[in-house]
Amino acid sequence: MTAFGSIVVNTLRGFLGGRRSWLLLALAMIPGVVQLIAGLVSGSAVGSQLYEEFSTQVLFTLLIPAVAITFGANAFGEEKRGKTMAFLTLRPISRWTIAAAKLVAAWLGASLVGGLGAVFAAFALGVGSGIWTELVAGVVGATLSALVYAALLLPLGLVMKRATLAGLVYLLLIEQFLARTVRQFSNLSPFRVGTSAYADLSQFARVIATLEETNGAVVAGAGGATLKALVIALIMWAITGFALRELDLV
Amino acid sequence: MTSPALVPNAIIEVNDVSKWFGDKVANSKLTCSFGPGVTGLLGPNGAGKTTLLRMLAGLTQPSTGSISVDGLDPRGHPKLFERVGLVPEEDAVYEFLTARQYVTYAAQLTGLADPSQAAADALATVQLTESADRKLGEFSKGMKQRTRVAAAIAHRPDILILDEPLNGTDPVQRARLIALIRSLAANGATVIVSSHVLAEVERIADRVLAMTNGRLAAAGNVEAIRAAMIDIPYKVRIDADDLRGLGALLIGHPLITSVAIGNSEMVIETNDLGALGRDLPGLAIDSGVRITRFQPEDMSLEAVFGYLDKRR
Amino acid sequence: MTSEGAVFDLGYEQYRGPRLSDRQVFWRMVIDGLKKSVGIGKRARNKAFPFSLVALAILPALGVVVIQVVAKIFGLPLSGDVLLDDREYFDWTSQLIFFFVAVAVPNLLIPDRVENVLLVYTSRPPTINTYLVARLVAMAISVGVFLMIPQLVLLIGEALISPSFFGHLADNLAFWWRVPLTSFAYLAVNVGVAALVAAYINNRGAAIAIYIIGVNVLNGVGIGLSSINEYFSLLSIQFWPTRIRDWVFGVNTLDDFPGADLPIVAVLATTIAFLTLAVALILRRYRKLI
Repeated sequence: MTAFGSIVVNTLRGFLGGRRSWLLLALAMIPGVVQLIAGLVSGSAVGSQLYEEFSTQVLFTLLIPAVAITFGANAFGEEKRGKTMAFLTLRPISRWTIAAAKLVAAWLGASLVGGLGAVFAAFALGVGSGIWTELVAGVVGATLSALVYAALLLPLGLVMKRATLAGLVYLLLIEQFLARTVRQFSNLSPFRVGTSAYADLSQFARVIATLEETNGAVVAGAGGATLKALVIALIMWAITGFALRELDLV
Repeated sequence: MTSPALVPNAIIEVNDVSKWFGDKVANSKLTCSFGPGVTGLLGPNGAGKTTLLRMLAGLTQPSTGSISVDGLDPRGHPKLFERVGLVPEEDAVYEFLTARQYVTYAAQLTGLADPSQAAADALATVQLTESADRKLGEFSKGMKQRTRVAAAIAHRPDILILDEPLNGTDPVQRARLIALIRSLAANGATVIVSSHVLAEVERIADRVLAMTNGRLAAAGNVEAIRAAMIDIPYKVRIDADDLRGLGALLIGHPLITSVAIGNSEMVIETNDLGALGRDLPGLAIDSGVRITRFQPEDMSLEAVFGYLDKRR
Repeated sequence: MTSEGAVFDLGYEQYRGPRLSDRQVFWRMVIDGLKKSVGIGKRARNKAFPFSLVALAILPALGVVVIQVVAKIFGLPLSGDVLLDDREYFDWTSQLIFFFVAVAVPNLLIPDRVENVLLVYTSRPPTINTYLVARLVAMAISVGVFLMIPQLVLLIGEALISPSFFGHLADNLAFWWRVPLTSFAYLAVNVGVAALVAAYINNRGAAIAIYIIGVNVLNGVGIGLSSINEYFSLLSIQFWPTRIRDWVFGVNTLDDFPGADLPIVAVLATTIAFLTLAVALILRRYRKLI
């Protein structure tokens, strides 16, 4: 296995081996559970309405970002806290490779946990309402959302002790509260990348309207969203690689 | 004259290096070099040893001055680390991995062709083969330390930097690690070992760099450092069948600066231990006194370091 | 003692001076808790978060007062919609105390537990109950002050620029029961949830994250399941104090919330039941520790 692959695998081992990941997975499954109960108890109309107005909202504006923030911030955060940075950096591999491997690991971990949440919610929609078209939209949206948040938090985890907390406070205070109160803030919110890809691929006509009602204007476009996510990831990778080269790592 | 802090066949060179964190000076104007063999970096806690080792490994950048490893700056030349192994001071391992996974991970990151075999060999070297498949979270401090040493030597580095490597190990493990360090050095590796335990350094190192307050206080082997302290006379403990007779002879002798006679032994001070060693047998024979013990008191590293520390 | 050796008592003298009364000890612990909750006695960076939240809480109130002063000086007409009243102000401060409590409560409870400081408290006359009550009182005071100060700034500022200072206060007598009661509802619910989480989680970061994410997810779940039955909206913890506030102020601002029409008795009963359960679980946890 290459050094890159080795860092990805061992970072994922660290992420997915602990109780935290199970807790995050349980959280990510909550919309699906609610969706399943509502769909089975109240019928298909309520099920599909719930999917639009609750499951997508909670998944894309709260749970997937929270999962990706946790993994992104801890990709380096745990190395710093565990004082294992020297193990990683005193190797014949470039700091850019380390940054890229950590980004990929955080993205894969967050996509797996967040994506499972999205898949389960889409599955619950199918069981309750007989609509099976949302799976791809959910997975693509979750994956892009995970990439953006994980990338944004990657360098923060390198320089800040409480990057997860800072990310969550940002998510809740700025995105969940200020962006809803002052609409201009919503234009800067990274959750729009995942939601615009999701809205583009979703078969529900009202999805965009539902998202816009609470989270400001969302322009549907999976291609644009993918491009934005890749650009953000590239910029954050460059910042992280540069920080790894220049900062004192102890 | 070349400074004893420098070695002729240097692999690592530290040139006028200072490092400060905010207003705290960790290292001040250090110039020294390291070559094949074991160099002990000695100093009390807070002397600046760890900061120097971190700079040598490229983990932190000097505030002023320069460091080169085989002619290259350790920061920005990751290829160098194919040849470098580091055991940092922190008791840090990935607790969710087994010892085998941990050492294999280290070998993979170093780009070895067969990391599994390299890991197995390194674990065998530190006698951890039987526990290799246990999670590191279940290991004792000493076992973690040996695992970290295994990870540092898995790629057979020719430069090995060990920060307090014997911390947490029991006497048997300690003896084995010392033997391992000495055998690596015997095979031509440049080994730097930091410790604040004088007895450890005395057993491991061929050469000592002593640090106090972030500065280099002394360099060389212990005898040479002691000999360089010309302002501090040597203390020698002497037993003889006629202490008073011998004492009368020595008082006023040009090589002796003081004589203290007790009930069963005598302690003298001299500035020239070598000359006294040559003259004393003749004096004893001439006066018919039989000397049963002639023991320099302050030739140990502990005594030498005590003098260095007092000069702070 | 033997004929060859002896160990003598060096005469360790116990403290025989005056001691604080139990009440004084309790208030010392409360003051200690108050200081810790806002980072007093710690590094500047520990103060940055709580004090910036306090500043954020007060700023709009000051802004409202300043706008009114400027309008009065220049004779500008002011639409009533421009300004915030005391009820609306809770929409802002309740969000801020959510984050304040998220950080302050774990900081107050977890280090004492994980660093084994609890024994230092309980090896002295105070019991574990005294310790817990002191900690909760400290939190209640700091959150209460957090919620009350901007409201007082608003009230007094408006009174100062009104034609009659005391006339304005007399016209707003209801302030003195509505605002404290509503503040109590917000602080009880927020501190209750955060303390319950902090009592069972030993990692501060995890406790903060679980509280923040958990409350938000429960809000969503409550709204989601309310399509089955509106009583499910009671799962939304943040709905409770807001509904109590509306009841205290005699309005209903939660028109689009599925549980808006639930009887207030149901909300009050849920809140009281949760707080009772939280206190019981916290006590159980701490009694097991000591």
